[in-house]
Amino acid sequence: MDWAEVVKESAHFGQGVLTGLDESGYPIGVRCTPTADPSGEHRFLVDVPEGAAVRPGRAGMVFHRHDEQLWNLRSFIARGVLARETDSTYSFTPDRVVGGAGIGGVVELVRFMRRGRRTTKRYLAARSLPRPKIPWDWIKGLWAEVDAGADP
Amino acid sequence: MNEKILPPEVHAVFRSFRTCEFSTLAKDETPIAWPTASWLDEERGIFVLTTSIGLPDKAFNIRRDPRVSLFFSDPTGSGLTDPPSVLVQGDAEAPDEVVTSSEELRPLAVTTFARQPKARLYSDHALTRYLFDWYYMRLIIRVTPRRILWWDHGDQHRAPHELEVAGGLG
Repeated sequence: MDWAEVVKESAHFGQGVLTGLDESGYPIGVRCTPTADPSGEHRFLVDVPEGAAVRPGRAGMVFHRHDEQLWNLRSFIARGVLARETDSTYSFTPDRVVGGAGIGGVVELVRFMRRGRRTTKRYLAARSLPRPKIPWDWIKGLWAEVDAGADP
Repeated sequence: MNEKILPPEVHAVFRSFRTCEFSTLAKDETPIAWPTASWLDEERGIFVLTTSIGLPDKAFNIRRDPRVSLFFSDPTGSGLTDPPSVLVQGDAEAPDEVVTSSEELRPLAVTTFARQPKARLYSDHALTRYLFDWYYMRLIIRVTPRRILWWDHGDQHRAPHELEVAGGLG
């Protein structure tokens, strides 16, 4: 995605989740409403609330949504750099964007499927593992549990 | 699970949210999050997640650096009204064992199927089985929590509540 597409796509979500590291060195998430920098620089401006102690540096931004039935999934992520501009305003400058579910329509779904198959083949080959057979009856059994009202 | 210290509203989030933003650290330490379903195994006090070997980056990241977080910030579909946002920071493991059926994954699988009924189409038809069989070749991810933060009403402008749970919730 180029920058214009990133801005357009992100606007469909409204909110995103900024992921950075906190002082403990562990990842922290911050739900935020990023806006494209009006100066024209290819970066987002983000209001980081006081209660979320994210530190500047490498960071990510995930945009995602699903409906009440966990369907109509749509997502993409950006990787980049988080910098502090003022007390509460940060800039997030993406250097890589990866499309996820629902982005790019059928063409991207086919790519996703083919990429998954290729990666699977490589994963198994690297470990000299045979391609496992999927126990479809076991999976069918799980669906039967759902149909019977299972609620673990 | 230590129910004495984990408030019921936080427990409800773990049980009811459909996804969390699951962050792992890439090679260059970029925290990368993808929406992911999780299961709180109350007996062991850990979270169980999974990924396909066709999408192994999460597992590769964890094998290199176990620091992860699960951020529960999207209540869509949960049925909860005004829940807190909850962040779980912890250490993960992702053993290099490919599983296609697993009792450990059963509760997560059944719950996810129940919440995502249309996913049945991927396992019900010969063509989708052929095209997406790789999706059912799974790696198990286990997260031992060390710190839980939560923000009332999902308002991160307020200071979070904090619970140290080093060693897990068990």
